[in-house]
Order: sequence, then structure tokens, then C-alpha cells
Amino acid sequence: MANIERVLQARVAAAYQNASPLTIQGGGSKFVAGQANEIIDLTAHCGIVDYSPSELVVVVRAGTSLQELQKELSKNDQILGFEPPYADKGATIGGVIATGFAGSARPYRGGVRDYILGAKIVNGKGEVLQFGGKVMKNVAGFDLFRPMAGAMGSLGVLLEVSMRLIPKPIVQAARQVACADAQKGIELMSSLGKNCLSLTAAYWYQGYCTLRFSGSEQAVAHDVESLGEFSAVSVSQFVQLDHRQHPFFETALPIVRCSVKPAQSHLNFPDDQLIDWGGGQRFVATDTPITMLQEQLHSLGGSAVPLDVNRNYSPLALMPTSLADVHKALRSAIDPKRILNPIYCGN
Amino acid sequence: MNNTSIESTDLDSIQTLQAQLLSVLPEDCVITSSVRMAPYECDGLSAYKKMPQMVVLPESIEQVQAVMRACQQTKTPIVPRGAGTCLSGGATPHPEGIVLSVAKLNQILTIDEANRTATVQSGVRNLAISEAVAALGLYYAPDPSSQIACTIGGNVAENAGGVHCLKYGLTVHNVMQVKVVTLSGKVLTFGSETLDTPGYDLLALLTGSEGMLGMIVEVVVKLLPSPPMAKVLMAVFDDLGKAGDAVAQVVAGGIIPAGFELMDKPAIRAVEEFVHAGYPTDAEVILLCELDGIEADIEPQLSAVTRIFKECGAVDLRLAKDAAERTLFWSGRKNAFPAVGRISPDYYCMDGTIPRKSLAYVLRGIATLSEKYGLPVANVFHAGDGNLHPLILYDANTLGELEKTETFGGKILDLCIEVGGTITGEHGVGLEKVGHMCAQFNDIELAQFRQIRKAFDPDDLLNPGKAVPTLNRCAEFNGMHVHDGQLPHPELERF
Repeated sequence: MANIERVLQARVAAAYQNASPLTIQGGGSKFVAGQANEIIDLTAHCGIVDYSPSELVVVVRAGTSLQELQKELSKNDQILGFEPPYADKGATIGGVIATGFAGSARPYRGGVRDYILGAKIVNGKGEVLQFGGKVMKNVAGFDLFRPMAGAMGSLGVLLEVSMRLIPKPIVQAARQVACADAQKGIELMSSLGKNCLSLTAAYWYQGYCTLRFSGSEQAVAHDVESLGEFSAVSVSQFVQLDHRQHPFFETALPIVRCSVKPAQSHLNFPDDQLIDWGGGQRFVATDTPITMLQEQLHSLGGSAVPLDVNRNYSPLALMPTSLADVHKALRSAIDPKRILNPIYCGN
Repeated sequence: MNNTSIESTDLDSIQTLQAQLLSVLPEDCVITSSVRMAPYECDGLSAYKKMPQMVVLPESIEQVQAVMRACQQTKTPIVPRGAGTCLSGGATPHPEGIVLSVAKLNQILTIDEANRTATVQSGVRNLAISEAVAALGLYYAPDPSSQIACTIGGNVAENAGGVHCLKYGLTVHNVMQVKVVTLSGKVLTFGSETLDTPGYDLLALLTGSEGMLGMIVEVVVKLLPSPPMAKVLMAVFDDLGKAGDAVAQVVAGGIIPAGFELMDKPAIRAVEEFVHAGYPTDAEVILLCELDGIEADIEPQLSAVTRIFKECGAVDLRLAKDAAERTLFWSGRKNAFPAVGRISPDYYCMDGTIPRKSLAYVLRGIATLSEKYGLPVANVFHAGDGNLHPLILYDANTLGELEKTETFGGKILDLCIEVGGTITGEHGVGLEKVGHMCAQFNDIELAQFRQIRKAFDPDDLLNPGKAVPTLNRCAEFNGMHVHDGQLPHPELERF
């Protein structure tokens, strides 16, 4: 447990003076490539600042390891509803928020930004700011804390985050059914999403639909019984999937993550495909250039990004110019000299 | 607020604007007569009335674009307006500007049953969405008090909540995509109909931004399966601390009620006189706890909540025996504001959020202040999420009482901030609490807000004077005036 806020603030302020870009680093659990900037390491800024189980709120410093946080929450039978992965690889809370990666429960419980109640950041001028707070209902000021999710640090170096918690499900059960036709799989997952209130994960791969139910014994039993002849499998399949350890990922081909409407009819790519998030996220292992996929997905109201997170990636090319301009203007208002992970939404 | 009289150059500019608008919009979409503009001169904060120069009601996105461009060109302030149910003056007109109402953008465009979304124009009423999809076994979850009248566009601008938001989230958790028209007349799409939208989460920034960033014209909302069943338990307590413990234990025990509300003795008595919901008038506090889902799931939760209430010293427990009784239990809570309005010439409705564990401390603090200022207070509390509505009873006709009430109200907000809460849980900052923003945020943070606002609105035309205070601002008004029981929009249920 340590508080190096002053040090971090001073470093960003100095970088602002010199207009020298920074690479913000947590546990390094997700990145495969980086930029050659001066590194500002958050891992020494760690510890749980405040945890009130009866308030379902935890306030934690950005360098705190996800593993440590999850252990503490577990003692009170509480969890982060969005199930972030890579705790075992040294993920920090700052990185969890900044990359915005959520696990299998995403369509059923919400994403990273749905659980943020407040954030303390250092902006690109080296100023410490606090937005939101520790309560769920708070409409004072711009809610800048939510857009921190997925912003890759470019809207501020996270110092502290307050997050909403949920009770740990009392039981979980996973079931699997043969479903040779991907389209039928998509339709099944869609209909279960409406009828089974305890459904918290669903994916289709190579002829099988695998589903997870979480909640009270009664709620889970009710939904599992309604399925009929589905075989019981381990819930760890979903943990594997979230950590990209599922057999689908054992491929030499580049993997693209497509975001579509969940009931989108099956995308008939010739390549291997895993349909996740109840249909809303589709992984494709392919050497088709990603730009072609992006065009196709765009025409369906969706998007495609490479699986491997890369600090040289910026999504501005994927959007209309008018929207890109708003991104740049927002960024400039917070980081005028573009020193915080400069490439993301930088140019 | 700038109250300078209109100079001749400004008059030209208004006339220019009017001519431009009439060349693009039908005549009945541009209102200039005082008589016809009168209904727009205030929102739910009726103490603040301003006559605008014009009220404009576009019928299409293209017309909205034309209005925005024309206002930018003539540097005319724009106050966006949904149904005008805002309780903080968010839609109070600017005397030199226009009110831009989305009342005519009232079409439900698409209902996507398979994807469980609905695409609606921003002037569609909140409840109308649920009504339109009820036959499909779906509904739109956020249920602010004014939902029979308020618009989804206004809901997005205010990040509206409601009784069910602990379990089902606020507006920001239930909206996928918004189309917004900028001052320069561009249509931008924030978010998407998929779970990952490339780039920044501009939708999250827009939600709750109180009209400062652009004009919301179209919204894609998430629809949820309607819960098969709901049950309501009323618990009676003779001590505030015990009720506060019960609230904390229910939540700490892993139960997320669909609705969880608290009322104190003054509120209970006022309500019982008015609607006869069967509330015990000698109770210090009552809690209403609603659980929803499938029956098999509700029963064990009900047992657990019952046990907790008993262990915390509840003196009586009543379970609504059917849907009719459930409605009756809730009718008391829903009529709390008009009930209080019956027993007092005026009342102030406060809106703050506090951590649940601070409830007893804050209510005792309010009671102490009530004695100090000699003004009674009735409290209703969204126990589920900590959102508190103290209602200060006063008489504006008594010399000095209004000012005393406002000072008292300000102290309550200070108390909310002191325990780590916020000055507004759901009613917005608007005009009313702009001064208190200075207490909740420091100068650097307020400067950051201003820079972001400027990035979208360099000329300060979108809802100027609202939500984010200027450097010189230190207004002290921070309450909703209710005079002679005349609540604005008296036909609406109030939470």
C-alpha cells in the first residue's frame, strides 16, 4: 500500500513543461507492443483506499493489482460485475479501466464504464482532478470518469477509481448443447437472453453452444431446468475464454474482434469463428486484411479491431471526420500537448 | 444570469434569425407571441421564469440542423427543452435566446425485438417506450417520477434515474446510441448498436451534460425482459438508526432490491392524511422493499429481507397480498410530494445523494438544523442508492422565511458533501445549484469542465449560465419552490 500521487503529478507536470510524451504503464499484462516514450509506472501507487461492502463501493489506487482487489472483495462475497481478465498476469486496476476489457458477462451485466462511480486523474497539464464520487446517483458536472474506460490513458493518468460492486453469485452452472448451425446458435443465444434471467455468458464454437447461469440456487435451477437436454460442463470454460486460452486462440492467423448487434445473422467468413457475448462479439481467425473486414462490419453498424492491443493503434481512422474532430477537441481540452499515450485518438 | 435589455442590434439579430427560421420551418413551428410562449417560460422550477425571444419546435433532424446553424451565425443562445419537467431550471429560457423544443420529434422509429432495442426520436415520452413494447414482454427500465410526461431526450440530458435504478441502472446504463446535432449543424452519432464503439465513450460524456454539448435528436434504448413477478414488503421502525442498519444489512447481505424506499414520520403522516395507504402514523420510519424476478427467486430473498428487518428491530412487517395492495403501498410513497404540499403553503424539495451508511447521521443533522431554523422537514429517501429528498416546509408570505429556507437548504447540501456525497442525485444542476458546484468542485476542476464545454461550444450558446458555473458565479439558490400546493405539473407522480 503506497501513495505516490505527488511524484506522479510532478512527473506529468514536468512532461507537460517539456512537451515530452509519456507511456503510461501498469502491470504490462495486455500490451504486445509499445512506443519508445518515457515510461510512467503506476504500480507503486497502490492500495485500497476505502471499501464499504454495505455501500457496494470500493475506492482503489490505480496501481493496485486486480488479484489483490479480487481477494479482498471475495472476503465479503462481492465481485466486479464485468469480470476483467488477466489478474494472474499482473493486471492493475488502472490498466483494467484504461483498456476497458470486460469478460463474458459483458452483455448481461454491463461493461467497465458501467461500474465506474468516480475517478481521480492527472490531466495532461499535470493537474490533479476528481470527478464523480462514491455514490451511484450523481449528476453534478460532466461525468468524465466513465469515458476513462477504454481511453488508454489519453484522457488522464488514473490515480484512483471508485467502483460499484455486485454480490458474488451464490451458484454458477454451465451447460452445453450441440448446435451445428451457427445461425441457429445465434438465435438460441438471443432467445435465452430474453427468457433466462440468470444467463450471464453465452458463446458458440464449432457446433456447440455453451451457456453460463449465475445467481441464487432457485434462479439458476429454474433456468437450467427450462433448457431440457443440455449437458453440464465446467464454468471454467468462460474463464478460459476471457483469458484467450480457449482452443480457438491457438492459431497462427491474426485474430480480429468484430462487434455486431447480437442478433446479427451469421457472418459467413470462410475462416474459423467464435461467436461470443451471446452473438455480440465475433472472433475471426483470418488473414483477410482488417480494413476489408472493417468496411464490411461498418456497413452492418458494427466495427472490427485487431485482438492484440497495441499502443500504436488509434481508432480515429475508423470514424467520420466530424466525429474524429470531436475526439481531438476533447483530448485537447484535457491533454493539450498530447503527452499521454500520444497516438491513441491523437491524430 | 444576464438581464440586460435587448439593444437595437440584438433586435435586428433576432429578426434576422426569425426570418431565417421561417424560410426553413413551417410557420407554426416558430412561436413569437408572448401568449403562446408563456407555457415555456419555466420548467419544473417555477420560481424562475424568463420569457424567451422565440420558441422553436422543429419536426425533423434537418430542421434542427438549420436552427442550430442559424443560432450559431446570429450568436443566439439556445435552451434545449424536452417536456420541461426538469426540477433544477435546466430548461429555464434565456431572455435573449430561443427555446428549442423536441416536442414534435415524437416518433418511435423502430422496435428491434431480436436485438432488444428501440430507436426513438428524442421527444418521445419515457413511459411511451415501455407501453409500445409491453406486448413483446419487454420494457425500458429507468423510471423517473415524471415518466408519463418527460422525454427520453431530457432523460439523456439529465442522466435520469428512478426507483429501480439500483438494480437496473440509470439512463446511461440503458442507452446504446444517441444522435446529436452540434452548433455548426452537423449530426454526430455517439455510441452504436453494438457493445464496443471505437474511440472515446462520448455517449457517456453526453449523458447528464444538461444540454451543454449539442441537441439530442434520436436515441437507441436498451429494452429488458419484463420481470414475471414483483412483491413489496413494508417494514415499520421506531428508530431511525435501526432502519438505517436494516438498509445497510440488506445490501451487504447480497440482496439488490428492485425498489427500496424510506419515509420518516412527517412524510408518513402527510401521506396518510392524503391517500390513506394504510401507513402507521405513529411510526418513526417505514421502509418499502420491492423484489422482482421469478417466484422461486423472490421467495428466499423475501425470507432473508424479513429476517433482517426483524433482527434490526422492525415493529411491524406487512407483505402486500396482491397487485392491488402493492399499488396501494407504493401510492403513499409516490404521493409524498403532493401530500406535503397539502399541509404547507410552500415547500422546498432538496436533492442530494449520500452513502447509505451516513443516513442516520445526515437525518439527525437535518433534524438539528430544522430546530435551529424553526422550519419542519419531511424526508423521503431512495434507500437503494442513497438519493435523499428532504422537503422543507415554509410559508413564502412570512417575511424572511424564503431566505431562511434557502439558507437551510444550502446547509443540507453542505452536509451531503461533508459525508462524501453529492449535491444532486437526479434533478441536475441546471440553474438552481450552479452556486453549489463551487462547493463540490475546486477551481481546477471547474476550469476543466469549462474547457470541455468550450470544445463543443466556443461561443457559449448552448444553455448558457447553467450546470457549470462561470468564474464569477456564486448564486445561493438551491431548492425548488412550491407555493400554495401548486407543484408544477401537479398531475405527475413524484418520487
